[in-house]
Amino acid sequence: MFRSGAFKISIIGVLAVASAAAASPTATVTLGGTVTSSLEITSVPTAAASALDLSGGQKIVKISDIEMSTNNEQGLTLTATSGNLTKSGGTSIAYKVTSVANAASAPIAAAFTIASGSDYTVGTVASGSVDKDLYILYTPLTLQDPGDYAGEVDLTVADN
Amino acid sequence: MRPRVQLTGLAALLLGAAAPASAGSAVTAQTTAGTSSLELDGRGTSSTHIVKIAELSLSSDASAGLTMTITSGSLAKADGSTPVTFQVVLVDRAAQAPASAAFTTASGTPYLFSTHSAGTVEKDIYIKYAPAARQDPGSYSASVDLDVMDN
Repeated sequence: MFRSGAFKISIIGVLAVASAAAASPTATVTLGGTVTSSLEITSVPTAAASALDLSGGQKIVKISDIEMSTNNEQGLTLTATSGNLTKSGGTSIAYKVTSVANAASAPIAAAFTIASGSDYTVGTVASGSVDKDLYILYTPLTLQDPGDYAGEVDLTVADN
Repeated sequence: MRPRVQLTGLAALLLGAAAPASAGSAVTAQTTAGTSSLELDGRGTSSTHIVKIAELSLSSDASAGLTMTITSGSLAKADGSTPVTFQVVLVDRAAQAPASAAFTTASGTPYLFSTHSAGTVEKDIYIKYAPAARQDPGSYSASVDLDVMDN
């Protein structure tokens, strides 16, 4: 009986050793995670945007305060569409778009370098937030057909 | 009597066969769920995260115990954008998460842990990291290497 008892203890010891021997002197824990883009834009139209002066002659009007931000280290690009203020049965009024730094002086006419109908783009080169003022330039005819004119500027931001 | 002698001889044979494999110290790491999907904010706000990443079982049959070396470094993106550094620290198994101040070994510097006798030790490993307020979007990854050796 004594020998039998000793045998059982020995076997338990062997199993424990075998389990430890399955371990290794090294181990690795793999870490991972994802950061999602915080890209966003908000646009606050000015009061003038929906009450544009359509009397004859060139006009430069601030139409929106824009706030944009991203966590992308390469920054972002804003795209703004341009086109025409239209009225059924009336001659359209083409407008161009540009932007200036927040609260900066209004741009001069020469600053509107993108043709009406083409996309205006402006970008940043680093993460962070940036505020811009969006302006349009348009020139109603001296005898512009009376009525209500409407247009739309679509703003899109994308990470660079 | 003869059968008993034979059984004893078998036990001795097993011990003899297992003895060489038992030499040295060993570590096993049971990775915590979520370790591969760490919370990375960085979308305008920044906060410090302290996360348990694995449960460790250390064993040594060396009378002077073992020393474990743990690496730390950075969660990095493949494109080389600004990485997120992390530090490591050990606590006893199932102990409370460590305080921020407990992470005293700088990121990139090996973290060392030693025992002084043979036996097994159970530990939990934590990391501390803080993404930037505006952390570049994308997938980040890193690895923590653990090495044990006899003292």
